[in-house]
Amino acid sequence: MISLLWQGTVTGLLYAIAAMGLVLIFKSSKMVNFAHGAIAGLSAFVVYVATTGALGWPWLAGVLLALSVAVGVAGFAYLAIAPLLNEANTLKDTATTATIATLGFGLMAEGVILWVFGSNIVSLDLPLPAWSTSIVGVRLTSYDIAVLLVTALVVAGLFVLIDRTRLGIAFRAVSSRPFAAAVCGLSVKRVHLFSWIASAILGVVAALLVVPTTFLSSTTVATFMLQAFAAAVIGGFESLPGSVVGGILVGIASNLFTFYVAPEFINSFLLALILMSLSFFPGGILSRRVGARV
Amino acid sequence: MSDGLITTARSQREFGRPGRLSLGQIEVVAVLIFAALPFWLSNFWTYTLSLTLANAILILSVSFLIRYGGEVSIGQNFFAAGGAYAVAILQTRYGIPFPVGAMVGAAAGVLTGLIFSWPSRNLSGVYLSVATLALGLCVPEILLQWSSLTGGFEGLYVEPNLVPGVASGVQQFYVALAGLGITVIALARFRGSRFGLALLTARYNPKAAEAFGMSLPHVRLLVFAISSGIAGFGGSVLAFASSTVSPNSFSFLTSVYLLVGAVVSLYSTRMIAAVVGGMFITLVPLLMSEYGEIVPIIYGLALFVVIYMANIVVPAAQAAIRRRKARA
Amino acid sequence: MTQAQHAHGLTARDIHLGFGGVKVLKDVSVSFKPGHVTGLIGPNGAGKTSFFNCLTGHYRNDSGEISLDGVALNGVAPPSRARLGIARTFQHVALSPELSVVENVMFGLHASRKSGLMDAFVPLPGSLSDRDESRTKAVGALAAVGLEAIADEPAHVVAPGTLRLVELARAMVGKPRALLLDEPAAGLNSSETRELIETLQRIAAPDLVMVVVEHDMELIMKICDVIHVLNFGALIASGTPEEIRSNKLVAEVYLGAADD
Repeated sequence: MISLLWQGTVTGLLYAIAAMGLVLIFKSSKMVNFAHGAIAGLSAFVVYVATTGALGWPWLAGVLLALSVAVGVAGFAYLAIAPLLNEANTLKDTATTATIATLGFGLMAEGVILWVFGSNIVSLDLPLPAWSTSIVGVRLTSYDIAVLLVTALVVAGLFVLIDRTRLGIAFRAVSSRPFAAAVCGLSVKRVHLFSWIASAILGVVAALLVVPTTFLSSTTVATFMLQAFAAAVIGGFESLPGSVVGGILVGIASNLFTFYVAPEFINSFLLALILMSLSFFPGGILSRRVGARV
Repeated sequence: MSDGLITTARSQREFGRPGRLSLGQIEVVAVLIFAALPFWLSNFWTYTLSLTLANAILILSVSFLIRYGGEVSIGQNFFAAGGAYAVAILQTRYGIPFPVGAMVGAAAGVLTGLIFSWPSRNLSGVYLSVATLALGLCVPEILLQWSSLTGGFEGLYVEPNLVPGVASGVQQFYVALAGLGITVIALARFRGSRFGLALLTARYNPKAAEAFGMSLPHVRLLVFAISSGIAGFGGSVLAFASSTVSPNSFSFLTSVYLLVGAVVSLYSTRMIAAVVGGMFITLVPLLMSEYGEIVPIIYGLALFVVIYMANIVVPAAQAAIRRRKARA
Repeated sequence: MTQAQHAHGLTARDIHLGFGGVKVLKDVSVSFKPGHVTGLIGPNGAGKTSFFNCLTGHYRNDSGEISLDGVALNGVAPPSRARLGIARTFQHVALSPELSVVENVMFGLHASRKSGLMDAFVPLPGSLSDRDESRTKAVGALAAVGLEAIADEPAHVVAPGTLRLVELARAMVGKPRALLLDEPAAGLNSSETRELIETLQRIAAPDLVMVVVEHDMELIMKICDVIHVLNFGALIASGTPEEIRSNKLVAEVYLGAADD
């Protein structure tokens, strides 16, 4: 049971990282990036192609290539969608047109994945030393350590970025009062671009870390993304710390459900989880406790 | 916020200009031509058109939600599947005829839509949209696993036996046409109704809607329930028109394609627009059956192009024309 | 309604409102009487909009009571206030660009109409007459502001100044007990403002409570019977237009603000 909880937490941290990407974009531009999964999946495939088969690049090089691809695609996607975002839009609280446009991007990315890579299922492991140990009966592997380290780095990095740098302050300003921020001379576009690029990086990181456990195919990343979305809903789309809490909850709950109940109904379970979270924690699980939102 | 697609569709609406054919008159002529098509076309094309018309109903459910509610749903396949399987199961298991099945399908759509949208009724539309992602993704697993009821991977067969003696292809076509007609007429009536005015005001000015008695949770529930009801009804019609219901007609991708169809139809609730959207999502996969992987790319591009044209290119062109007129 | 109740109007007593430590309204008590046009003025940041939002139910005041004809409004959300007879206009015209002018005005009747969902889809005889009746009332409201000629124009082609009057018609069509106007002259040029002043003077009625929040002094002085002045969330002066005009404190508050 404890090992289930532990495994769930580890995977949950990855959902959290991906969810933070979604929250970054929503906070700064009030839109949902439905292409998050497809872009991350595309990048994972790039790593696969670069590091295996004919190319045989070292893993790190492959990852750098994938990160560049993701950043490039995300940057391009943002610039394409930017004209559709109406910054002075105060009438509706979400940028629906821009959200629909992200679906267009998602479709194209999915299409490219299908076209170039087909419906193969491949395995893409991390180049980690095979190491494991046991603590209080729970198996701890090098993979778990890697996930913990990366998560800590990501969270610390984001915290420093948002709390201490000028870009971070601009991000916080645009997130709460975009019109006022623009009037004060802040470049709203730069903040948006930062959110998209950061989100793409987070997506790739999360995807590469989760693929060793789920194998890589045209659909695994999409399914993984549903868990990230669930984490963002539970944590609240306005809360970055909430994503961490939400991610861990989704990870543990999914693991328990898959083991004790029925793995083939995982999507239905996530739907039920989302609806229950909306009913009992509207706006996110952390939204009641703290007055100001991060 | 005035979405470019809706503005473009709006400017096509004639407000009683004398001497020109109104869009409504053109539509009536189009419907009459449509109604005569089975006599001219081969069975294959009649069947394809039946599917187009049924898909048009499903597209209307997405267009309605965006136009009257400003919300996106990528989970309409859930309600469509409900309507389709309702018809199939009632007919194959209990011998209940299609018209009753279709009403059950529509009612099931409304009910499940209400239950689904209830938890997020007070929240921003982003929560609704993300929840529809989950809704859309869980359909195949439910349909596959509950195989005792749904026939699993192979699905169920729906006998087009509404009018004895008439060829099944012809029946399917006219049922689909009638279904689309009923939906379009009902929506046209709805627009001028008390709630239609309320929804169209809330869409652009939620505070104003509240100020005159329409609470926002009610807006959300109403618009989603109608949309899901239309999807359920459309699913029922699709079941009859295609004779088979199986899980791969109701995947998550189906929902996204419906959204593409809605965008291409400029979110209009007019019959012509819905049929154009339906044609786009029915014919493209047909014509590209050899290169199936390119279909999502084409759809993604089409979605982008249409949104760009309507939101950026057309308004810019209109502004340029106005400037030129002002200078003259 | 008894004489006593009818005379009540809209009352606000000891209204307190704060946001995260900032006191926006302090102990504001105002009585808006029927048959009077009551103005609410003050420099920017004085709390006029916040107070207005408390009256409409958009904000919930921390303490104090608001009541209409003796019916307590605390905790009553805007849709329910509409049913009690409160109507309002908006600083930025809040009409639907997708509806025609008369359809926009018809929405003003929403709270009092009885048609339900059945009527929305099926042409039942009851629903047909309800739609006709509503349209007739809406055209009448448009006539009261002189706009029945453009009833069937789509709202998105009508000039913004004219749309203000359409909004006014929408607010009046349901024969409200209290009409709350949020900066009705905002964005209007001087001739449009004069037309608005004439229209507002025409619609004032002995049993109608009219509240106007405004910056435009010409409009306030011309149409108001009573003016209340807010500054830093507190009521600093109340009286007739002449009294306010000659009030030294009010002049200081305004001239002081203009110096910044």
